[in-house]
Amino acid sequence: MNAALALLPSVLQYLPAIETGAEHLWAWVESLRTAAQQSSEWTTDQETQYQQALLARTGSSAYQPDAPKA
Amino acid sequence: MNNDQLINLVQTILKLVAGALAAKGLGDSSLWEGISGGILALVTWYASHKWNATPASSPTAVITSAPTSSQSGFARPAVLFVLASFCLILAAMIGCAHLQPGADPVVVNVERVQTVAAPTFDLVLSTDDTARPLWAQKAPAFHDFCEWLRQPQTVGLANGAATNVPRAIALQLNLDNVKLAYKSGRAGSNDVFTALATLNSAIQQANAWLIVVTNAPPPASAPAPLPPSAFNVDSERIAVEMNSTDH
Repeated sequence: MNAALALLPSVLQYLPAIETGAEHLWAWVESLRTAAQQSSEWTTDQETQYQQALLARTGSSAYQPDAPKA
Repeated sequence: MNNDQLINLVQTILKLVAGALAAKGLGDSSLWEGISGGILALVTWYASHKWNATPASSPTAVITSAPTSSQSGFARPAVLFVLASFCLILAAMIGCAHLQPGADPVVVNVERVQTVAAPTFDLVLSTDDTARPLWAQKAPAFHDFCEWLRQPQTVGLANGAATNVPRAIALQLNLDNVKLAYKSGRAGSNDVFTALATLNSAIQQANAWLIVVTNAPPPASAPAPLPPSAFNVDSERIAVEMNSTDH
């Protein structure tokens, strides 16, 4: 019981990271399914959406390089 | 009824059920083929190992040895349930589709890679982004790889404009540009395969790093990053050619 209580702060600390990771992991699994079930070429709309989704990622903090060290 | 008869009976029933479900629009034939295959594999395994029910143990029986997994009455349904669930989930997840007539397999394969590439880079970069100082200290090679993916690169957009984007996105946009050029006859399949191989290498490295950082202590040696020559898709030439054809 004490060991479980001692672990609780660590679990709570990493919970946001687990939540973020799970979201991206699920998106990755979904992409595998989508890719496997694709049977024809993308339409023009799908192509446009893909390019816009890629460019939208450039604003994500995960894609920003580290700040230069002083 | 012997094992062969049992397997044939199950196979027939599965075909009928799968056909009926596919006819009603629930899933497609490839999905149900996968699920049927998984169930049939379980039945075959069960029959071949003769996993018949264990006689109920008497309350007064003396336990002389620990039960093995194949003797445990509790283990059997649990193992079967887990394996069956795994097969069903796997079949539902993957369920590969056949190409429709007229679809260019080169283009479809490129688009399949494109579909997986973005979430892969999202996953690896967000993993690093959750604790950059930690990864930089504990797994510097992993963090360096992520930084390599984040470095700005100039890439031509479909409208001919050039822009700076992180390398993870530039690799994908380059492949997309080459694919579009290939579809319009302005690039050959070799160009497509070169760009595809470049992106695939980065995806494989990202997947390798995800396995390493989520399952093991920081490695002593790390996979080397892609050399600059690997990023050799001539996007500017393709962009210029696209513009010259468009006007």
